[in-house]
Amino acid sequence: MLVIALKTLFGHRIKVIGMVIGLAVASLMMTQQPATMLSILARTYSFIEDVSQPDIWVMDPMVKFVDDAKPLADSKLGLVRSVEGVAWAVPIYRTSTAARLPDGNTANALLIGVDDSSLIGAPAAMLSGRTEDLRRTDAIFVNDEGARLRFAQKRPDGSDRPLQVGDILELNERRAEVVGIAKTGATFSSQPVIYTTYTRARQYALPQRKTMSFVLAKAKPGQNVEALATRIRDETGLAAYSATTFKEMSLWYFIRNTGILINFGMVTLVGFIVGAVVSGIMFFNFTQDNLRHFAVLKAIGASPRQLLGMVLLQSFIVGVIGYGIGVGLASGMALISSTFQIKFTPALLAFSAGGVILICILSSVISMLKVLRLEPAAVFKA
Amino acid sequence: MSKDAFLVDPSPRPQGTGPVVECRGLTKVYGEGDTAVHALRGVDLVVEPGELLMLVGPSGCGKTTLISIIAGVLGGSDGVCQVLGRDMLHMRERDKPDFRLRHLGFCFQAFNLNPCLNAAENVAVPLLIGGWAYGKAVARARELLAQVSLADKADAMPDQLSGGQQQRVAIARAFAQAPDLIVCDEPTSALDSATGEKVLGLIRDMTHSSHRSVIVVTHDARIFRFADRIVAMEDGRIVPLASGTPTAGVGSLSSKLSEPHAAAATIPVT
Repeated sequence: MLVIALKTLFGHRIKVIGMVIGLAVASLMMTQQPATMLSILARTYSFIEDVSQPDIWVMDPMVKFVDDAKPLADSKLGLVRSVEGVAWAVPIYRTSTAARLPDGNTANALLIGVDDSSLIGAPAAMLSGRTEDLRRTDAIFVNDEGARLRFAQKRPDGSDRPLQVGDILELNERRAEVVGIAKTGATFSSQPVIYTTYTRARQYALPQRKTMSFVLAKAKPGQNVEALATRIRDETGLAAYSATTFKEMSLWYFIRNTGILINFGMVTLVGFIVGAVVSGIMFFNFTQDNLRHFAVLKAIGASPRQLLGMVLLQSFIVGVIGYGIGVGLASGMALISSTFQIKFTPALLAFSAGGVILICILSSVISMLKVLRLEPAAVFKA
Repeated sequence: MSKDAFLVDPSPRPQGTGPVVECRGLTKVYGEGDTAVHALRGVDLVVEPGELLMLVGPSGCGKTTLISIIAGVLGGSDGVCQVLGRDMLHMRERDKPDFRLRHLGFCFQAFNLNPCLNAAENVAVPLLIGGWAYGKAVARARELLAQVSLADKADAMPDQLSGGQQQRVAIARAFAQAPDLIVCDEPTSALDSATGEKVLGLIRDMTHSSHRSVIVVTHDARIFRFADRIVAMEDGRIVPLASGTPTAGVGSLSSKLSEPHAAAATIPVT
């Protein structure tokens, strides 16, 4: 019976192509759009993920998300360190700056100043250079994406030359030497990220009375992180969140205030609807065209279960092909897009697969009803 | 259905096992009240094992309704319709597909071959429904195609076959699961005269060689001579065969009336 179902399906090539295209478009949109959204949303908290060592982020109580850092007085650092249960606490500085490139061009960048002595807050993964190199004179790290894109310089032949270790930048009229290229998550604004020590960052940035953006704190072994965050809030009057909570805060701030979920959600929904309508109509037409043959099978003695199995198999096969093409196209688009990392997760792939399965079920339900209600006596009509 | 639940028995059906079809007072009414249409008005009919019976009559007389009820693809309204001893009017719907698969074969006016399957695969359809493995079913189908002289067309698609060849494929399909009763609806109406006679000759030969019963609904007087018996219908009833009906080779009316089981007007072939 499966052979009959498959041969009948592929005997109608045009309709199969139509169904597959419909499902592929739906699959593409249901995969690529949420993946793009996830990628953008991941940028909202990538800084928190890159700074992986601390358990707790301490900040001004008015801070709503990670890019909303409000400068703290340096004295707050001592307050946090004095809270019972805090193993260590270090400052981190986060501000914007303009970098002058070796070719004379300038580009805005995010400047991160990490603790001078411990280098806590420095990127964990280095593509070139070592974390300790940050202690060298005028040393800075640049993130990989920034080095390849915004900080890239034009060669005489017109091609781009990424920023490399040994290149010299000028930050606030001060010399800065690239000693490492770090692998970090991309930022929401796609700005290059420059890492240096806390002290040096204050020199590279425009003068400010308060410079400390966050205090990064580590809980002593055995301490409950959430309880410690509460204690820090109570004792310092500052806001303190676990890294996970702070990530969620940043994420939801963007979701609530940018409409990103609605926009991408609408496109995804449109993809689903278009796929469902196109595939549904094509599949219904396909079944309609084959009603006489279904009636023959029914008259000969095929059971309703066998007929349903045929319809479901046909629907499943076009679903698998359409889904494969759609996800393949989405992956291809991600590969050729050098400026944008699209985030594919197993959950996302399961989501789009679920969407395609739903379309297949919706498409085949009408066809199945048609087949089940079919009078086998119809075969005796000429 | 398990793979082994249904196996073809190619051996001839044993004789003397009672009528294959027995209808008594069979009625069929479509709709109700003032709009009711009485398609069958008390049909009495018996089909014996190994018999090739032709059901003739004008369009709308109830022929197709009658064979649809006999074949279990349509319910009757009242009376009795027993096929192989099973009451078709009271058989559960869920039991009918299996009954048809095991005991009935079909041959249609429009051939109804699946255009996406080749000849052998079309013949194999009943076997595949019965759970046969694809390779085994197609091998058996090739044997059947050889019996209808189409061994060399086993891999041909339906659109590569002539009308007569397509009907022979359909006949092979009807005989695939070695049914006890084969129901043919206007099997020659889409064929030219010579081809139609060849097809009926083939049906008769296969019927007699395997001692299986066949009911042929037809308008085609040219093929009456292949019948063992002819039953005429009109307005939902079995009626005497109209005078002047070209039934060359068919026996006299008086002889059919002597048949103890035959209802009203049937003509046995001598």
